[in-house]
Amino acid sequence: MECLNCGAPVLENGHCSACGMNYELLAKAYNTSNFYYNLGLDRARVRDLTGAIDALNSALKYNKQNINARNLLGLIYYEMGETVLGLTQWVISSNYLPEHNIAAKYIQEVQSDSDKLDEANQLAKQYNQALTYAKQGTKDLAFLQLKRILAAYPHFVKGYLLLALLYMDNGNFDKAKKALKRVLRIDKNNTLAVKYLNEMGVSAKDVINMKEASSRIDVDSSYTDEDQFKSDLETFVEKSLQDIDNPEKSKASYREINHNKFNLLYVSVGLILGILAFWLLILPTKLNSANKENRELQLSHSEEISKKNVAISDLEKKIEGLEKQVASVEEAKNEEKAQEEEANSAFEVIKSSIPNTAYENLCSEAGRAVNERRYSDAIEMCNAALQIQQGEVAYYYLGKAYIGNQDEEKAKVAFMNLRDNYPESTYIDEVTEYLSE
Amino acid sequence: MINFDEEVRKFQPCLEMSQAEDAIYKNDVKDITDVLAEMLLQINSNQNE
Repeated sequence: MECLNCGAPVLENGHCSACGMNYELLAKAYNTSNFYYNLGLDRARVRDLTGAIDALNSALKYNKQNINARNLLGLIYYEMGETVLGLTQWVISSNYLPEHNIAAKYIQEVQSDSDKLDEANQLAKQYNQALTYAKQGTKDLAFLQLKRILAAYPHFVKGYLLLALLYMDNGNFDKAKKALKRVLRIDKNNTLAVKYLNEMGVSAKDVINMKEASSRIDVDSSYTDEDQFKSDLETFVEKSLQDIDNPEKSKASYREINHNKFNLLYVSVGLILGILAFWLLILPTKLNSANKENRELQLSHSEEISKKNVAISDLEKKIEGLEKQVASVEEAKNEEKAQEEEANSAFEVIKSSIPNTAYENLCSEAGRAVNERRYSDAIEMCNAALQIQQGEVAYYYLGKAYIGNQDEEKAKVAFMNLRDNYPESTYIDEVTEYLSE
Repeated sequence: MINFDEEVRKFQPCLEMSQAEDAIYKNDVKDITDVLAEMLLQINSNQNE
Protein backbone atom coordinates (compact mmCIF):
# COMPACT_ATOMS: atom_id res chain seq x y z
CA MET A 1 0.00 0.00 0.00
CA GLU A 2 1.09 3.54 -0.69
CA CYS A 3 0.69 6.46 1.65
CA LEU A 4 -2.14 8.76 0.57
CA ASN A 5 -0.15 11.79 1.68
CA CYS A 6 3.35 11.24 0.25
CA GLY A 7 3.09 8.05 -1.83
CA ALA A 8 5.71 6.15 0.23
CA PRO A 9 5.09 2.47 1.25
CA VAL A 10 2.94 1.84 4.31
CA LEU A 11 4.39 -0.29 7.06
CA GLU A 12 2.63 -3.27 8.66
CA ASN A 13 1.68 -1.18 11.68
CA GLY A 14 -0.44 1.00 9.33
CA HIS A 15 1.90 3.98 9.35
CA CYS A 16 3.72 5.53 6.40
CA SER A 17 7.41 4.67 6.22
CA ALA A 18 8.29 8.27 5.23
CA CYS A 19 5.84 10.72 6.80
CA GLY A 20 4.57 8.45 9.56
CA MET A 21 0.89 9.18 8.84
CA ASN A 22 -1.70 6.65 9.88
CA TYR A 23 -3.07 5.21 6.66
CA GLU A 24 -6.46 4.31 8.08
CA LEU A 25 -7.06 7.81 9.42
CA LEU A 26 -6.04 9.39 6.15
CA ALA A 27 -8.24 7.01 4.16
CA LYS A 28 -11.21 7.88 6.39
CA ALA A 29 -10.52 11.60 5.96
CA TYR A 30 -10.28 11.25 2.18
CA ASN A 31 -13.46 9.19 2.07
CA THR A 32 -15.30 11.80 4.11
CA SER A 33 -14.00 14.50 1.79
CA ASN A 34 -15.33 12.58 -1.21
CA PHE A 35 -18.66 12.08 0.57
CA TYR A 36 -19.03 15.84 1.02
CA TYR A 37 -17.97 16.40 -2.55
CA ASN A 38 -20.74 14.06 -3.72
CA LEU A 39 -23.18 15.88 -1.48
CA GLY A 40 -22.07 19.20 -2.89
CA LEU A 41 -22.40 17.89 -6.41
CA ASP A 42 -25.93 16.66 -5.76
CA ARG A 43 -26.89 20.01 -4.26
CA ALA A 44 -25.32 21.92 -7.13
CA ARG A 45 -27.26 19.80 -9.61
CA VAL A 46 -30.56 20.88 -8.04
CA ARG A 47 -29.32 24.50 -7.82
CA ASP A 48 -28.95 24.47 -4.06
CA LEU A 49 -25.77 26.48 -4.43
CA THR A 50 -25.50 27.64 -0.80
CA GLY A 51 -25.85 24.02 0.40
CA ALA A 52 -23.31 22.93 -2.21
CA ILE A 53 -20.81 25.57 -1.04
CA ASP A 54 -21.17 24.35 2.57
CA ALA A 55 -20.66 20.71 1.55
CA LEU A 56 -17.68 21.51 -0.68
CA ASN A 57 -16.01 23.59 2.01
CA SER A 58 -16.40 20.61 4.35
CA ALA A 59 -14.89 18.36 1.68
CA LEU A 60 -11.88 20.66 1.48
CA LYS A 61 -11.48 20.65 5.25
CA TYR A 62 -11.00 16.86 5.12
CA ASN A 63 -8.81 16.99 2.04
CA LYS A 64 -7.67 20.31 0.68
CA GLN A 65 -6.28 18.56 -2.37
CA ASN A 66 -9.69 17.30 -3.42
CA ILE A 67 -9.46 18.68 -6.93
CA ASN A 68 -13.03 17.96 -7.97
CA ALA A 69 -14.43 19.66 -4.87
CA ARG A 70 -12.27 22.75 -5.42
CA ASN A 71 -13.13 22.97 -9.12
CA LEU A 72 -16.83 22.66 -8.40
CA LEU A 73 -16.61 25.29 -5.68
CA GLY A 74 -14.96 27.67 -8.15
CA LEU A 75 -17.65 26.95 -10.70
CA ILE A 76 -20.41 27.72 -8.16
CA TYR A 77 -18.78 31.03 -7.20
CA TYR A 78 -18.53 31.87 -10.88
CA GLU A 79 -22.21 31.08 -11.39
CA MET A 80 -23.13 33.35 -8.48
CA GLY A 81 -21.29 36.23 -10.13
CA GLU A 82 -18.16 36.07 -7.97
CA THR A 83 -15.64 35.47 -10.71
CA VAL A 84 -12.56 36.40 -8.68
CA LEU A 85 -13.44 33.90 -5.94
CA GLY A 86 -14.01 31.23 -8.58
CA LEU A 87 -10.67 32.01 -10.23
CA THR A 88 -8.93 31.76 -6.86
CA GLN A 89 -10.23 28.24 -6.33
CA TRP A 90 -9.26 27.17 -9.84
CA VAL A 91 -5.75 28.60 -9.48
CA ILE A 92 -5.21 26.70 -6.20
CA SER A 93 -6.60 23.56 -7.81
CA SER A 94 -4.30 23.79 -10.83
CA ASN A 95 -1.43 24.37 -8.44
CA TYR A 96 -2.10 21.05 -6.71
CA LEU A 97 -2.62 19.20 -9.99
CA PRO A 98 -1.07 21.01 -12.93
CA GLU A 99 -1.92 18.37 -15.55
CA HIS A 100 -5.23 16.86 -16.61
CA ASN A 101 -7.10 19.39 -14.54
CA ILE A 102 -10.27 21.00 -15.88
CA ALA A 103 -9.50 24.08 -13.76
CA ALA A 104 -6.85 25.03 -16.33
CA LYS A 105 -9.54 25.12 -18.99
CA TYR A 106 -11.78 27.31 -16.83
CA ILE A 107 -8.92 29.73 -16.11
CA GLN A 108 -8.01 29.87 -19.77
CA GLU A 109 -11.62 30.58 -20.72
CA VAL A 110 -11.90 33.47 -18.30
CA GLN A 111 -8.46 34.89 -19.02
CA SER A 112 -8.75 34.58 -22.80
CA ASP A 113 -11.28 37.39 -22.84
CA SER A 114 -9.66 40.42 -21.23
CA ASP A 115 -13.00 42.26 -21.35
CA LYS A 116 -14.54 39.53 -19.20
CA LEU A 117 -11.86 39.91 -16.57
CA ASP A 118 -12.23 43.68 -16.62
CA GLU A 119 -15.99 43.34 -16.27
CA ALA A 120 -15.60 40.97 -13.31
CA ASN A 121 -13.25 43.41 -11.64
CA GLN A 122 -15.59 46.31 -12.33
CA LEU A 123 -18.50 44.34 -10.94
CA ALA A 124 -16.61 43.72 -7.69
CA LYS A 125 -15.60 47.37 -7.41
CA GLN A 126 -19.10 48.66 -8.13
CA TYR A 127 -20.66 46.26 -5.64
CA ASN A 128 -18.20 47.28 -2.96
CA GLN A 129 -19.03 50.91 -3.69
CA ALA A 130 -22.75 50.16 -3.40
CA LEU A 131 -22.13 48.36 -0.13
CA THR A 132 -20.24 51.37 1.19
CA TYR A 133 -23.12 53.63 0.18
CA ALA A 134 -25.59 51.35 1.95
CA LYS A 135 -23.47 51.24 5.10
CA GLN A 136 -23.07 55.03 5.05
CA GLY A 137 -26.82 55.49 4.67
CA THR A 138 -26.80 57.00 1.15
CA LYS A 139 -29.33 54.46 0.02
CA ASP A 140 -30.39 56.24 -3.19
CA LEU A 141 -26.88 55.95 -4.56
CA ALA A 142 -26.72 52.34 -3.45
CA PHE A 143 -30.00 51.65 -5.28
CA LEU A 144 -28.72 53.25 -8.47
CA GLN A 145 -25.42 51.43 -8.34
CA LEU A 146 -27.02 48.05 -7.67
CA LYS A 147 -29.59 48.45 -10.42
CA ARG A 148 -26.81 49.27 -12.85
CA ILE A 149 -24.80 46.24 -11.73
CA LEU A 150 -27.74 43.85 -11.96
CA ALA A 151 -28.75 45.12 -15.39
CA ALA A 152 -25.27 44.14 -16.62
CA TYR A 153 -24.71 41.02 -14.46
CA PRO A 154 -28.02 39.26 -13.86
CA HIS A 155 -26.36 36.33 -12.02
CA PHE A 156 -24.93 38.37 -9.19
CA VAL A 157 -26.62 36.90 -6.09
CA LYS A 158 -24.96 39.18 -3.55
CA GLY A 159 -26.26 42.20 -5.45
CA TYR A 160 -29.86 40.93 -5.39
CA LEU A 161 -29.65 40.25 -1.66
CA LEU A 162 -28.38 43.75 -0.89
CA LEU A 163 -30.98 45.27 -3.21
CA ALA A 164 -33.73 43.24 -1.49
CA LEU A 165 -32.51 44.46 1.90
CA LEU A 166 -32.62 48.06 0.69
CA TYR A 167 -36.15 47.59 -0.67
CA MET A 168 -37.25 46.01 2.58
CA ASP A 169 -35.85 48.93 4.49
CA ASN A 170 -37.70 51.20 2.08
CA GLY A 171 -40.97 49.33 2.73
CA ASN A 172 -41.16 48.24 -0.90
CA PHE A 173 -41.73 44.53 -0.26
CA ASP A 174 -42.93 43.70 -3.77
CA LYS A 175 -39.69 44.82 -5.31
CA ALA A 176 -37.72 43.09 -2.58
CA LYS A 177 -39.63 39.88 -3.34
CA LYS A 178 -38.88 40.26 -7.00
CA ALA A 179 -35.16 40.55 -6.35
CA LEU A 180 -35.30 37.55 -3.99
CA LYS A 181 -37.16 35.54 -6.62
CA ARG A 182 -34.19 36.00 -8.85
CA VAL A 183 -31.90 34.80 -6.06
CA LEU A 184 -34.03 31.68 -5.63
CA ARG A 185 -33.88 31.09 -9.38
CA ILE A 186 -30.06 31.01 -9.22
CA ASP A 187 -29.65 29.55 -5.73
CA LYS A 188 -32.73 27.61 -4.66
CA ASN A 189 -31.96 27.38 -0.95
CA ASN A 190 -30.22 30.69 -0.37
CA THR A 191 -30.58 31.00 3.37
CA LEU A 192 -30.45 34.78 3.41
CA ALA A 193 -33.15 35.04 0.74
CA VAL A 194 -35.41 32.63 2.63
CA LYS A 195 -34.76 34.55 5.85
CA TYR A 196 -35.73 37.87 4.23
CA LEU A 197 -38.87 36.32 2.76
CA ASN A 198 -39.86 35.00 6.16
CA GLU A 199 -39.27 38.43 7.63
CA MET A 200 -41.65 39.88 5.06
CA GLY A 201 -44.33 37.47 6.21
CA VAL A 202 -44.05 35.00 3.37
CA SER A 203 -45.00 31.58 4.67
CA ALA A 204 -42.87 28.51 4.05
CA LYS A 205 -45.47 27.20 1.64
CA ASP A 206 -45.39 30.42 -0.33
CA VAL A 207 -41.59 30.29 -0.39
CA ILE A 208 -41.81 26.84 -1.98
CA ASN A 209 -44.34 28.15 -4.50
CA MET A 210 -42.05 31.07 -5.16
CA LYS A 211 -39.15 28.72 -5.84
CA GLU A 212 -41.27 26.81 -8.34
CA ALA A 213 -42.46 30.03 -9.96
CA SER A 214 -38.91 31.37 -10.14
CA SER A 215 -37.91 28.56 -12.49
CA ARG A 216 -39.81 30.43 -15.24
CA ILE A 217 -37.58 33.50 -14.88
CA ASP A 218 -35.02 33.96 -17.60
CA VAL A 219 -32.03 34.48 -15.36
CA ASP A 220 -29.81 35.61 -18.23
CA SER A 221 -32.03 38.58 -18.98
CA SER A 222 -31.08 41.97 -17.52
CA TYR A 223 -32.71 42.78 -14.21
CA THR A 224 -35.05 45.79 -14.26
CA ASP A 225 -37.80 47.05 -12.05
CA GLU A 226 -40.19 47.41 -15.00
CA ASP A 227 -41.81 44.02 -14.84
CA GLN A 228 -42.33 44.63 -11.16
CA PHE A 229 -45.06 47.09 -12.08
CA LYS A 230 -46.70 44.30 -13.99
CA SER A 231 -46.55 42.08 -10.98
CA ASP A 232 -47.97 44.88 -8.85
CA LEU A 233 -50.88 45.01 -11.25
CA GLU A 234 -51.17 41.27 -11.11
CA THR A 235 -51.27 41.31 -7.33
CA PHE A 236 -53.88 44.06 -7.42
CA VAL A 237 -56.04 42.03 -9.80
CA GLU A 238 -55.53 38.91 -7.73
CA LYS A 239 -56.43 40.78 -4.56
CA SER A 240 -59.52 42.24 -6.20
CA LEU A 241 -60.59 38.81 -7.36
CA GLN A 242 -60.06 37.46 -3.88
CA ASP A 243 -62.16 40.30 -2.50
CA ILE A 244 -64.90 39.45 -4.95
CA ASP A 245 -64.72 35.82 -3.92
CA ASN A 246 -64.87 36.85 -0.29
CA PRO A 247 -68.59 37.55 0.30
CA GLU A 248 -67.99 39.67 3.39
CA LYS A 249 -65.62 42.02 1.63
CA SER A 250 -67.59 42.15 -1.59
CA LYS A 251 -70.75 43.26 0.18
CA ALA A 252 -71.55 46.93 -0.45
CA SER A 253 -74.58 49.08 0.15
CA TYR A 254 -76.72 50.13 -2.81
CA ARG A 255 -76.35 53.73 -3.84
CA GLU A 256 -78.02 55.80 -6.52
CA ILE A 257 -75.49 57.15 -8.96
CA ASN A 258 -75.61 60.91 -9.19
CA HIS A 259 -75.23 61.55 -12.93
CA ASN A 260 -75.12 65.36 -12.54
CA LYS A 261 -71.72 65.01 -10.94
CA PHE A 262 -70.36 63.54 -14.14
CA ASN A 263 -71.83 66.06 -16.60
CA LEU A 264 -68.59 67.95 -17.03
CA LEU A 265 -66.73 64.69 -17.43
CA TYR A 266 -69.19 63.52 -20.12
CA VAL A 267 -68.85 66.82 -22.00
CA SER A 268 -65.07 66.78 -21.90
CA VAL A 269 -64.98 63.12 -22.96
CA GLY A 270 -67.38 63.95 -25.80
CA LEU A 271 -65.16 66.84 -26.88
CA ILE A 272 -62.07 64.68 -26.79
CA LEU A 273 -63.83 61.97 -28.80
CA GLY A 274 -65.00 64.58 -31.32
CA ILE A 275 -61.49 65.96 -31.72
CA LEU A 276 -60.14 62.45 -32.05
CA ALA A 277 -62.76 61.59 -34.69
CA PHE A 278 -61.91 64.77 -36.59
CA TRP A 279 -58.24 64.07 -36.29
CA LEU A 280 -58.43 60.42 -37.26
CA LEU A 281 -61.32 60.30 -39.76
CA ILE A 282 -62.05 63.69 -41.35
CA LEU A 283 -58.63 65.30 -41.41
CA PRO A 284 -56.89 62.49 -43.32
CA THR A 285 -59.56 62.45 -46.08
CA LYS A 286 -59.41 66.24 -46.41
CA LEU A 287 -55.67 66.15 -46.56
CA ASN A 288 -55.87 63.44 -49.22
CA SER A 289 -58.27 65.43 -51.41
CA ALA A 290 -56.18 68.59 -51.04
CA ASN A 291 -53.10 66.63 -52.00
CA LYS A 292 -54.90 65.19 -55.01
CA GLU A 293 -55.98 68.65 -56.21
CA ASN A 294 -52.48 69.92 -55.76
CA ARG A 295 -51.11 67.05 -57.79
CA GLU A 296 -53.61 67.69 -60.61
CA LEU A 297 -52.76 71.40 -60.62
CA GLN A 298 -49.12 70.59 -60.73
CA LEU A 299 -49.71 68.24 -63.66
CA SER A 300 -51.70 70.81 -65.67
CA HIS A 301 -49.12 73.51 -64.98
CA SER A 302 -46.31 71.29 -65.98
CA GLU A 303 -48.14 70.39 -69.22
CA GLU A 304 -48.63 74.09 -70.05
CA ILE A 305 -45.04 74.82 -69.27
CA SER A 306 -43.88 72.01 -71.53
CA LYS A 307 -46.11 73.29 -74.38
CA LYS A 308 -44.76 76.78 -73.98
CA ASN A 309 -41.25 75.48 -73.91
CA VAL A 310 -41.89 73.70 -77.22
CA ALA A 311 -43.29 76.94 -78.75
CA ILE A 312 -40.30 78.90 -77.47
CA SER A 313 -37.88 76.42 -78.97
CA ASP A 314 -39.74 76.60 -82.35
CA LEU A 315 -39.59 80.39 -82.32
CA GLU A 316 -35.94 80.31 -81.45
CA LYS A 317 -35.34 78.02 -84.40
CA LYS A 318 -37.25 80.43 -86.67
CA ILE A 319 -35.23 83.38 -85.40
CA GLU A 320 -32.07 81.48 -86.11
CA GLY A 321 -33.27 80.79 -89.69
CA LEU A 322 -34.18 84.43 -90.26
CA GLU A 323 -30.88 85.61 -88.87
CA LYS A 324 -29.13 83.25 -91.26
CA GLN A 325 -31.22 84.65 -94.15
CA VAL A 326 -30.37 88.26 -93.17
CA ALA A 327 -26.73 87.36 -92.97
CA SER A 328 -26.79 85.71 -96.40
CA VAL A 329 -28.65 88.75 -97.91
CA GLU A 330 -26.08 91.10 -96.43
CA GLU A 331 -23.32 88.92 -97.75
CA ALA A 332 -24.88 89.01 -101.22
CA LYS A 333 -25.24 92.79 -100.97
CA ASN A 334 -21.60 93.17 -99.98
CA GLU A 335 -20.61 90.94 -102.86
CA GLU A 336 -22.70 93.03 -105.25
CA LYS A 337 -21.10 96.21 -103.91
CA ALA A 338 -17.66 94.77 -104.31
CA GLN A 339 -18.53 93.69 -107.85
CA GLU A 340 -19.88 97.19 -108.63
CA GLU A 341 -16.73 98.77 -107.28
CA GLU A 342 -14.68 96.38 -109.30
CA ALA A 343 -16.75 97.21 -112.39
CA ASN A 344 -16.36 100.96 -111.77
CA SER A 345 -12.64 100.69 -111.31
CA ALA A 346 -12.44 98.57 -114.46
CA PHE A 347 -14.53 101.16 -116.28
CA GLU A 348 -12.21 103.91 -115.12
CA VAL A 349 -9.20 101.88 -116.20
CA ILE A 350 -10.77 101.27 -119.58
CA LYS A 351 -11.86 104.90 -119.84
CA SER A 352 -8.39 106.17 -119.04
CA SER A 353 -6.75 103.70 -121.36
CA ILE A 354 -8.92 104.57 -124.36
CA PRO A 355 -7.44 107.64 -126.29
CA ASN A 356 -9.91 110.53 -126.06
CA THR A 357 -10.14 111.81 -129.62
CA ALA A 358 -13.66 113.21 -129.28
CA TYR A 359 -12.44 116.10 -127.06
CA GLU A 360 -9.75 117.13 -129.52
CA ASN A 361 -12.09 116.88 -132.45
CA LEU A 362 -14.68 118.99 -130.68
CA CYS A 363 -12.03 121.57 -129.70
CA SER A 364 -10.74 121.82 -133.30
CA GLU A 365 -14.32 122.08 -134.60
CA ALA A 366 -15.03 124.75 -131.96
CA GLY A 367 -11.88 126.72 -133.09
CA ARG A 368 -13.07 126.51 -136.72
CA ALA A 369 -16.56 127.67 -135.70
CA VAL A 370 -15.05 130.71 -133.87
CA ASN A 371 -13.02 131.59 -136.96
CA GLU A 372 -16.15 131.31 -139.13
CA ARG A 373 -18.08 133.39 -136.50
CA ARG A 374 -20.52 130.62 -135.64
CA TYR A 375 -20.23 131.45 -132.00
CA SER A 376 -23.28 129.61 -130.68
CA ASP A 377 -22.09 126.32 -132.38
CA ALA A 378 -18.68 126.90 -130.88
CA ILE A 379 -20.24 127.32 -127.41
CA GLU A 380 -22.20 124.03 -127.74
CA MET A 381 -19.14 122.13 -128.93
CA CYS A 382 -16.95 123.53 -126.15
CA ASN A 383 -19.52 122.55 -123.48
CA ALA A 384 -19.74 119.07 -124.98
CA ALA A 385 -15.94 118.79 -124.95
CA LEU A 386 -15.82 119.93 -121.33
CA GLN A 387 -18.39 117.27 -120.39
CA ILE A 388 -16.07 114.65 -121.85
CA GLN A 389 -12.89 116.05 -120.35
CA GLN A 390 -11.67 119.24 -118.68
CA GLY A 391 -9.07 121.09 -120.79
CA GLU A 392 -7.48 124.50 -121.51
CA VAL A 393 -8.35 124.48 -125.23
CA ALA A 394 -12.05 123.96 -124.57
CA TYR A 395 -12.09 126.87 -122.03
CA TYR A 396 -10.16 129.11 -124.40
CA TYR A 397 -12.52 128.62 -127.31
CA LEU A 398 -15.53 128.83 -125.02
CA GLY A 399 -14.32 132.26 -123.78
CA LYS A 400 -13.64 133.38 -127.38
CA ALA A 401 -17.11 132.21 -128.46
CA TYR A 402 -18.74 134.13 -125.60
CA ILE A 403 -16.77 137.29 -126.53
CA GLY A 404 -17.88 136.89 -130.12
CA ASN A 405 -21.42 136.35 -128.90
CA GLN A 406 -20.95 139.54 -126.80
CA ASP A 407 -21.46 137.69 -123.53
CA GLU A 408 -18.54 139.09 -121.62
CA GLU A 409 -19.56 137.73 -118.27
CA LYS A 410 -19.53 134.09 -119.33
CA ALA A 411 -16.39 134.75 -121.31
CA LYS A 412 -14.71 135.98 -118.17
CA VAL A 413 -15.89 132.90 -116.22
CA ALA A 414 -14.46 130.63 -118.91
CA PHE A 415 -11.13 132.54 -118.96
CA MET A 416 -10.99 132.57 -115.14
CA ASN A 417 -11.40 128.75 -115.10
CA LEU A 418 -8.58 128.53 -117.63
CA ARG A 419 -6.31 130.88 -115.65
CA ASP A 420 -7.00 129.12 -112.32
CA ASN A 421 -6.76 125.53 -113.53
CA TYR A 422 -4.06 125.87 -116.11
CA PRO A 423 -1.62 128.67 -115.08
CA GLU A 424 1.11 127.49 -117.45
CA SER A 425 -1.14 127.42 -120.48
CA THR A 426 0.03 128.93 -123.79
CA TYR A 427 -3.10 131.07 -123.78
CA ILE A 428 -2.41 132.53 -120.36
CA ASP A 429 -0.99 135.91 -121.52
CA GLU A 430 -3.90 136.58 -123.82
CA VAL A 431 -6.41 135.58 -121.16
CA THR A 432 -4.75 137.63 -118.42
CA GLU A 433 -4.68 140.68 -120.68
CA TYR A 434 -8.35 140.27 -121.44
CA LEU A 435 -9.29 139.84 -117.83
CA SER A 436 -7.19 142.89 -116.79
CA GLU A 437 -9.09 145.03 -119.25
CA MET B 1 -38.29 42.80 11.78
CA ILE B 2 -34.87 43.01 10.27
CA ASN B 3 -32.61 45.83 11.43
CA PHE B 4 -31.11 47.23 8.28
CA ASP B 5 -27.88 48.58 9.79
CA GLU B 6 -27.22 45.36 11.62
CA GLU B 7 -27.98 43.26 8.60
CA VAL B 8 -25.98 45.31 6.13
CA ARG B 9 -22.92 44.97 8.37
CA LYS B 10 -23.01 41.22 7.70
CA PHE B 11 -22.49 41.79 3.99
CA GLN B 12 -18.85 41.27 3.03
CA PRO B 13 -17.15 43.11 0.17
CA CYS B 14 -16.44 41.24 -3.03
CA LEU B 15 -12.96 40.09 -3.86
CA GLU B 16 -11.31 42.38 -6.41
CA MET B 17 -8.77 41.24 -8.96
CA SER B 18 -5.94 43.05 -7.21
CA GLN B 19 -6.70 41.08 -4.04
CA ALA B 20 -6.82 37.69 -5.78
CA GLU B 21 -3.10 36.98 -5.35
CA ASP B 22 -3.26 37.60 -1.61
CA ALA B 23 -6.35 35.45 -1.36
CA ILE B 24 -4.57 32.56 -3.08
CA TYR B 25 -1.51 32.74 -0.86
CA LYS B 26 -3.56 33.13 2.30
CA ASN B 27 -5.82 30.24 1.38
CA ASP B 28 -3.81 27.91 3.56
CA VAL B 29 -6.75 26.17 5.21
CA LYS B 30 -5.63 23.25 7.33
CA ASP B 31 -7.12 19.87 6.48
CA ILE B 32 -6.96 16.60 8.40
CA THR B 33 -3.60 15.74 6.89
CA ASP B 34 -2.09 18.99 8.17
CA VAL B 35 -3.50 18.38 11.64
CA LEU B 36 -2.12 14.83 11.71
CA ALA B 37 1.28 16.06 10.49
CA GLU B 38 1.37 18.65 13.25
CA MET B 39 0.40 16.05 15.81
CA LEU B 40 3.17 13.73 14.63
CA LEU B 41 5.69 16.54 14.76
CA GLN B 42 4.67 17.32 18.30
CA ILE B 43 4.86 13.67 19.35
CA ASN B 44 8.31 13.28 17.76
CA SER B 45 9.63 16.43 19.43
CA ASN B 46 8.32 15.23 22.81
CA GLN B 47 10.03 11.86 22.34
CA ASN B 48 13.32 13.56 21.42
CA GLU B 49 13.16 15.63 24.57
